[in-house]
Amino acid sequence: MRFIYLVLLLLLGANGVRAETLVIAGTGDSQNLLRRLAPTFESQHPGVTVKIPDSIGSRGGIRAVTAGQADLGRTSQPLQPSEATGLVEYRFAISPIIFVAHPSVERVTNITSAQIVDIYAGRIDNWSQLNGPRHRLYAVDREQGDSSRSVLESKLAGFAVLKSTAKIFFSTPETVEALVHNPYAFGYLPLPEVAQTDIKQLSVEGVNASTENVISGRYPYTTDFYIVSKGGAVGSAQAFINFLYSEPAKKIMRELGAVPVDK
Amino acid sequence: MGDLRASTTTARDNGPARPRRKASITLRLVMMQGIIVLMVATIIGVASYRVMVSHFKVVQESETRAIANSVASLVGNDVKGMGEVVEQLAKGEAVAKYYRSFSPATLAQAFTVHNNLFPEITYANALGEEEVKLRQGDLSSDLRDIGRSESYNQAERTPNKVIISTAQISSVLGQPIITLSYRYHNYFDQFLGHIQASLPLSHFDQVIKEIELDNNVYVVLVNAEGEILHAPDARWLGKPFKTTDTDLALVGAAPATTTVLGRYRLLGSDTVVTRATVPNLGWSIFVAIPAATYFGPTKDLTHAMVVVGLIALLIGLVVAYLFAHSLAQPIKLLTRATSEISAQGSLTERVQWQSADELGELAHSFNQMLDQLARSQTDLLDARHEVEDILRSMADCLMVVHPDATIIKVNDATIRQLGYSEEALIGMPLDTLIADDKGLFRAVLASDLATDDRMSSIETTLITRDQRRIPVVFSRAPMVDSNGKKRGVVFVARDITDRKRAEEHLHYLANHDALTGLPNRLLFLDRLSQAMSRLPWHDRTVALLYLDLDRFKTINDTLGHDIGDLLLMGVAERLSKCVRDGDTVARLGGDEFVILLNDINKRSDVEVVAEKIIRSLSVPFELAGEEFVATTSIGISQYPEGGEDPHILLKNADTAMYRAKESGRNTFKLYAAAMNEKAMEALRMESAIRHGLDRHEFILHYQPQVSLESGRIIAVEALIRWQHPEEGLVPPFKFLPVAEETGLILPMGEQVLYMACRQAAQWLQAGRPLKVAVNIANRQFKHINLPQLVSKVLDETGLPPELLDLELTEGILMDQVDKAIKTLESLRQMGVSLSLDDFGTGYSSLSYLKKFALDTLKIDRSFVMDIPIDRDDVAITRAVVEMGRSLGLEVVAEGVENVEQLLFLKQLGCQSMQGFYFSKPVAAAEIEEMLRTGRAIDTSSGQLILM
Repeated sequence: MRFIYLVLLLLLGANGVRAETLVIAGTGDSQNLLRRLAPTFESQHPGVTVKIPDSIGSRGGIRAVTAGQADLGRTSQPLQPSEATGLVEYRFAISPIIFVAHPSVERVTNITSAQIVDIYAGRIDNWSQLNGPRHRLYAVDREQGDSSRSVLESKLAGFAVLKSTAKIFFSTPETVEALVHNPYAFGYLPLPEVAQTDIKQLSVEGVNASTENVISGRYPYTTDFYIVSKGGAVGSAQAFINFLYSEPAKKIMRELGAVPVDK
Repeated sequence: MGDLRASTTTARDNGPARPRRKASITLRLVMMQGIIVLMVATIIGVASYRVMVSHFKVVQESETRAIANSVASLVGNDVKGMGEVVEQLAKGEAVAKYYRSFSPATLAQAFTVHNNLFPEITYANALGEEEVKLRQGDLSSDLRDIGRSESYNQAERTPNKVIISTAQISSVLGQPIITLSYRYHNYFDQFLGHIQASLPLSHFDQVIKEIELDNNVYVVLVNAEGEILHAPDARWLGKPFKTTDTDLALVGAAPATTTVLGRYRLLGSDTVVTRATVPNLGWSIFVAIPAATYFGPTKDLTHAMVVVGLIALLIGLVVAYLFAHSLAQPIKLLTRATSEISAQGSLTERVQWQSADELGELAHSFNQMLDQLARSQTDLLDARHEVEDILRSMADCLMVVHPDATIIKVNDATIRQLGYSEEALIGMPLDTLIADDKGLFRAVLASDLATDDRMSSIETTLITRDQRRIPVVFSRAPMVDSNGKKRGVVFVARDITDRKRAEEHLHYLANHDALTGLPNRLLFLDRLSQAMSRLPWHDRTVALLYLDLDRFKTINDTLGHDIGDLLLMGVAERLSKCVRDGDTVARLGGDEFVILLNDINKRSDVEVVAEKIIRSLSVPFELAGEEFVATTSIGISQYPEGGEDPHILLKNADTAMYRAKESGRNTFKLYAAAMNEKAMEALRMESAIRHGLDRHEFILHYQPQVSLESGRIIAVEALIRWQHPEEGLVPPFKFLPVAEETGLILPMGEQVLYMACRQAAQWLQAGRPLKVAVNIANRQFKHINLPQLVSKVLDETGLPPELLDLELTEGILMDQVDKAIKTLESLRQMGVSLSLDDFGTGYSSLSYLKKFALDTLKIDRSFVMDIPIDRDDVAITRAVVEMGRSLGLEVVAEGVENVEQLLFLKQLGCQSMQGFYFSKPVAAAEIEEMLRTGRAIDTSSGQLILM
């Protein structure tokens, strides 16, 4: 709620300032990616400030755009038919969902889908069961409805039905925080969120989340990043959308592990 | 009978004395009922007391347990609640924030909320150093290192858990406390903080006060370490439970269930203790109820029960008395009635009582019994009179004899028959009336009284007053009193004079010959035995003269029995005159007499007597106007040569008599041992024949008869032979006479007939029909039904009658001519042919021959033997052949031994022959051989040939 409050403050403030501010609210999945893209856009469009507020979730983003509280929404799920009224979505990237371990975990580089299910079901609770160090494994999970979790539920056999015993975090930044700061932690995230941290990426069934593997489909756990606008985007919002399909943007996306797509 | 009455009186006098009454029925019934009531009351009282006490106990225990349980759960919930407070603090945002940002203000503020409950709350870091402490509402700077405290170490080992410390005295707070600690580790096992809160033990006073306990009931709370956390008196707090004066049994592992432990001195008071366990803490709750309070209700109950029991007993006794009195009343009435009856003997008394119960019935029955007794008394008197009448009318003498043998009662018949008055008889010893051995009589009486043996009759003789002797038979019966003791013997004497007389007559008849009045065989043998039994002491001897009358049978048959009897009587008379007084003349039967001569000195004496007898009898008897001379043959045997036994002596005299007869009649012969040998031989032979018959030692040989016309064998004559197992073949002349004499000829003849017929039947079956001739003995013809036997044998052997020829002798036929004619006729009708054997030896007349239904004549070998040399024999043979021809009979010549005889006989016209010339008698197999080889005679030359 305080994020929305903040957004409202910013919107109110924008009326009295000459400089234009572009607010893009929504999911935490693409938060880091967009925040890393924003300086490049701002440098190309002086006078336009891009605000990427902390995550309010894909749903929150859609509600904010619909209510006119945000210029654009960021989502990681396609619009539902009920949400689609008057909204236009722009898919701009495919992001792999990766499984990660805290850097303190040695020897473990790969994990099987069965092991993932066992970890979240509580059957594996020590790294030694994965040939890693003899230490407790702290599993980090996301809440039901999270886009990353939804991807896993639909693509990772057994994941949807298991009763998770892991600690649940309710936002992507908190999840990143938990995974980065707690030794022997294990979890999953959209790759761009942790691309430039020292967190340890794990290949799944021997396949890592490289661009090639994502494109070829060999790495199945991916989510799409969208920008949603109310009606046809205009002005700087339109400019930002176009920017996302430009080569400089694509370059940054690739650096962060996401796979850019064309308009 | 007066005696009997007297004895009844005696019995009453000697009867058991009337028992003294020691306790009335009423008293005894009351006592009995009282005992029953007391027992029932005791049993019910004890039982219900036990039930109630145990019920009380159950109720009280369950109440006590309920109290203990609620205290336990109250304490448990309270401590759990306080633990949660500490836990929430440790896990709360304040601690997290302090951990991240070290802002003590927020933490202190959070602590302050719980200041009322916990006077001191502190936050310690991972090293055990206190960083923030709130003491009695103020931040304290008195920060200490609690890293080495037991509760801190325990929390370190088990983070995220409420740790409760042992009791301790807080020097700062000045009172006993326990601490509650919580060390918080987050999800990633990161230490965020250690919270420790101090709880004064007085806190539990408030908690336990929430349960409103009865006066004097108190609770002791003890932790797992045995320290008192709550007690009625604060001075016990924190002290070890076991140092109190409590029984040590109360301390130890907390029980799983709440238990009433029993009576203990707890913290100085006499209490009943119940123990419960505080959930999850291992603490114990002891609920103590003062013993007086606990057991009070039971004591009250006991008192109440005793009082109620005594009242019930009292009521029971009163009821018992009333009941007993009502029962005893009719019994008293009955007792009084019985006493009066026994005192006065009056049977008219009656009990006046009526009720519907058994006593009413008893009174009624008692009255009925009296009626019955009255009737019985009358009946008894009647019966007594009847008995008197019967005794009086008895013809036999009846005497009742006392064990001392004196007469105590007699009947009228006794008085009448013995001639004594009743007064004289009573008291007289019975044996003075007995003619026989008096000692024996007394012994009999003693035995009668001593044993229960059946008393047999005794024959004896009574002597009457006038010395007459009456033979009597005494029957006896013991007189037994009601105790089974014999009081005497009843003697009934029956007059057996008539019977005695009849017996004597019978005896005479049995021992004497009715006709002559002489002793008979029985008496004679008796006397002989007696005489012989005396012999060993005398140098004299005895002799027997056995005699029978010669030709007595003729006299009897021709002149009739009356004359015969007269003769016998006459002979008897003369014989009796021929002997001395001591000798015995006896008639043995028929015309046989025997004389026993006693005291014989020498043989000549006997011979003198014998001659005397012969002489005496030679004088003619005049009978029915005619004179008869009776001659006799006498056999004499003398002891010991003639036998040492009466029977042998008699038998040998008999043997000697037969020798006398054989040697010409009217003489005497003395027995000699050789006389018996012939008879013995015959006996041996008889026995051997019997065995031989049984063992089928007799066999048949067959002599062929050959036709002088065809020269062939036409028949065979069966001839008996005895194949004795030891003596070999016994010739017929040795056994046939004995067989004839003994009658064994009958079974022998039957065997012969069977064997012959069976053999002939076999030959017939073998296709060689051959007639078989069988000799019939005199006796067979005379004594059995010959036609019947023949018919039976033919039937059984299956031989056709025409193949059987029966050979008979002249003697047989001439003996009983009429019967012979009939027999022959019936045999003839059966189809059997008949031959006359040995023809010519007897005195057969032609006229007789014609009457007999004969088929064949056989010329005896004695005639054939001397032909053709002896002229007489030739003449006889010729006559026989011619006679046969004229009568239409076939003629067979026997004993043909040479060819001359054969040719001569053929010339005479004899049709067939048998004899050694052709074959001696041979076994059946040889006959078959002859038939098979065709042995025959050439009829012209007379030579033997095989055809």
